[in-house]
Amino acid sequence: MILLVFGNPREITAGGVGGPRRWADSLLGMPLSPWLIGAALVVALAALVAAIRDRPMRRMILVGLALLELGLVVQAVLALIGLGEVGEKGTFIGYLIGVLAIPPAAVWWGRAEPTRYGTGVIAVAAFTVAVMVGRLVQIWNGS
Amino acid sequence: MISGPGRLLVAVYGVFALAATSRAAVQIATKFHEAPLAYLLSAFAAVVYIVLTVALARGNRRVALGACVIELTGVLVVGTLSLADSAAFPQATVWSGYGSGYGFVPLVLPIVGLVYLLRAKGRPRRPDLASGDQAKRKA
Repeated sequence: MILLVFGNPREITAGGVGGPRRWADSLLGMPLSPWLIGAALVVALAALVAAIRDRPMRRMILVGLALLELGLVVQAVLALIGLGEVGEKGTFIGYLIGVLAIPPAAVWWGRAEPTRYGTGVIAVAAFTVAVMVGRLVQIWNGS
Repeated sequence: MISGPGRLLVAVYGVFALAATSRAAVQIATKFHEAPLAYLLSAFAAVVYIVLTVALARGNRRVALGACVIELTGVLVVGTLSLADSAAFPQATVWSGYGSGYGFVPLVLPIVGLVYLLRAKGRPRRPDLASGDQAKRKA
């Protein structure tokens, strides 16, 4: 869904031609990525629900964000090891390293705001992580 | 520093400033000759997002309002041109197709920004006393 919303339409068609096989190929170098996208979406949803219900930021959400960051670091190490196959190296490394900055930045910017809007910041950040990891998989696939 | 809903807006603008800047940097560094106009527009959009993010975060209303208007104009003009004359815009910018490549967020964002900035106008200068945020914090 993320890829459908945010990807370039042409890129989606290109990815669709190869279908499941290309997705499977991508897992060889980035086995964590689908899990990270799922985890990021769960954190985003939890934060969104908390924000809508106007509840303060739960510790669970912050723990989820910390685990997400840990997964992103592992992903970066794994992907850098298998970097030889990637086409757009500059963009790929940019996303790979750039995404690491998102969770800490969100905690810094969101925790200073103890209302629902601080939790909203976490939701936006987690969703951004999901989109960026989605783009990473697309680039890895060469689409 | 800004508080309340503005903080959320700054977060979203920050993401777009980052995305637009990186995209423009890559485009200009690697394939500028392919579509100079589109890539310069990308860079311009990136600058507008950066200015907006900083102005909003620091509570600089006038600069933020100006940047919001430029942003809305940009996304409407570039969006229309990219559809009407796709040959002139062979490569994507954040504003192409009214921001369709980014879930139309680039189109919605300046409108949300303008609504936020214009609504905040009538309030007193100290946001803590003006909104219900203070009461919520104590609750």
